[in-house]
Amino acid sequence: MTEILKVTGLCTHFFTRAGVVKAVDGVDISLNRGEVLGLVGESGSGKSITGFSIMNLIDAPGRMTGGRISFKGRDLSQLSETAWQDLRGNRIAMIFQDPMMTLNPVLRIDVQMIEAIQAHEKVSRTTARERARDTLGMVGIPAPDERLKAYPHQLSGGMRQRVAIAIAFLNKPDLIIADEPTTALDVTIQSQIIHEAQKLTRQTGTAMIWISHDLAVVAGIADQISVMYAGRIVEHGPTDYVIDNPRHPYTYGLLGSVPSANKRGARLFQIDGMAPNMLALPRGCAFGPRCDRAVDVCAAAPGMSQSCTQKFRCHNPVPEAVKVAK
Amino acid sequence: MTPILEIENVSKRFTKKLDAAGKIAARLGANIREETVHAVDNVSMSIMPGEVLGLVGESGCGKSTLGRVVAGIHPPSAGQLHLDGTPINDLSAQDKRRANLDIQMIFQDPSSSLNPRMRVEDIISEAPRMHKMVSGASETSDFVDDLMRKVGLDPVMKRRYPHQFSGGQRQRIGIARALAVKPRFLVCDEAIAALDVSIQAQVINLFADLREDLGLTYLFISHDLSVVQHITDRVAIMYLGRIVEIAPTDDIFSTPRHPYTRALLDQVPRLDQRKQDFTPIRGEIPSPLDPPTGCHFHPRCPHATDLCRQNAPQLSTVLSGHMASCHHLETLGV
Repeated sequence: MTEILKVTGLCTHFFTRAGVVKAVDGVDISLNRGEVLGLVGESGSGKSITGFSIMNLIDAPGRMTGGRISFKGRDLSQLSETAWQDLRGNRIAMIFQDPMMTLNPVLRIDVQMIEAIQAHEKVSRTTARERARDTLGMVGIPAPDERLKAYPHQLSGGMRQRVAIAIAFLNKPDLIIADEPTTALDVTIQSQIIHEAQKLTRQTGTAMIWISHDLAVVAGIADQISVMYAGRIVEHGPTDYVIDNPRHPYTYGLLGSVPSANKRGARLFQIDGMAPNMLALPRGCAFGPRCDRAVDVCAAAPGMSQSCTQKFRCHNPVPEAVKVAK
Repeated sequence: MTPILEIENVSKRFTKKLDAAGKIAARLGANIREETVHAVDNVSMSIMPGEVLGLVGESGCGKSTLGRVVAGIHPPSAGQLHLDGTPINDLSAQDKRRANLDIQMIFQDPSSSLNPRMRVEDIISEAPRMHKMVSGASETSDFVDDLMRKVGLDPVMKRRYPHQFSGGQRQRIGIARALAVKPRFLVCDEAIAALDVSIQAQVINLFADLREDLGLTYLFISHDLSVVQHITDRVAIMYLGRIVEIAPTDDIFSTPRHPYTRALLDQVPRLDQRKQDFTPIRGEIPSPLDPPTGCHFHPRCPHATDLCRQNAPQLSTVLSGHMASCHHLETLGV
């Protein structure tokens, strides 16, 4: 397996007037060709900022303060802005939550797609147009020839998101970062999009980071899952292990709080309290104050422990024998 | 037992009126008409006291509009609502006011449904003060404390403004405000959709506790089928303004009859389904401005025939309490 992306100790901090927000604080990611990594966390956990950091899209007052990102063996931290332009949209692409934000409202779909191809490759307009049409067909858009002539506002939300996905896949990138791509969509459209994305990664060998707050969606698409809390990955492992046998109390709580058929009507497991203020993180384990397994040693920040199946950051992990009630 | 609320042939239409230029153009023979959206199209159902009825559908299917009609925010274009067996329109002015208080609504986005310039205690106590349910500073203060405790907020925070709370806490304020006028019926319109997963569980548990403590009846509007399955007794599935299936929750999840319900249930992402190859339902929900003829679902339905293209099916009983509207219920089987 060829390693496409290796992130070690990524730190992205925001220097605000109120203090330093450690939005991402020591994140490690390793991703092979064709693999899908699910990055799960609640709002404010730093999952989107991780995605933006890999794309080098962090604006002031934010700054990548540490860590190393290597893409196909190449260190990205020293790249010039022109080299980045060459990379973004070509070898690494991104899909955002709101397709209205990524598509230019005053340009037709074909103009935007041809632009994305010609920016990275010397091809004729006709060839580029053909490729754009084929890619639209690949993401399941009916009558792609007519859709090419449409403006974004003439398409429905689901169609727009498909166009955004098509643009991401246009140059057959090695890595796609999808930031909550189905959150704004209906269930039926969501499952269509997941279906297409899964098919495309399999066909093209593109690796993908799927950022989401919805564990059930991620369980359906990802090979590995990383769970983030307060800027850190608290648990990481293959999907089956993380979902069936979570070791970190936060993952365990999240899974327990998802309603399912067998728990019908019963009280849901609830994680008390709320996500911590990123400006004033609790000392030691950030999850400590909400954790029902907290012990004295939790006053010191836990390191990553490794079991034979997964990694977790906890002093008092959920025993392996305890499974989540589903 | 009389149902607490009966919805009888309720329709809600929204018409976009032509402006002056449009009227002139139409007069001159341009092809411009007034556009009408049938957001809710002849819906009937009844809800028993203490019941939780789920209303499920994709965005644009009219579920929120129906919720607003039930809560009295929109008057229905046709049909009536009956509260405890009496049509609400036939009530005396005084009873009507009480009826309006009996049904309260909780909205999706707690930050846009709370006035940012009011303190929490004023938000909660405004309606009961207006309706003379409480009077005097100390009584009001006790009343607010009591409500805040009931929804799991610390009364110490009652002098704060909404922006000083987190999303989950704001939703609790919205719930306290709805409960302040002692309603018997709550319409929850996507009340937990905007919350984080761990907070969702807290609010779902709160709804369950309140139901037990206060004997509330809920109309629970949501697009999230796993939440609906968890919390409701009965579920109604809506598609383009019409109810296509209504049944007890267990029945609808174990033996769905309508092709749309089946498709919808297949698409729900579940924790125990990994990387499986499913064939998603085709197409998208059509525009309600120009709904398909006959059965609204026929363009996306794998079983559609000419009959479906021409005639709209009626809701018919397949089992006691289980109704579905499809021409091919027999041939499709269970």
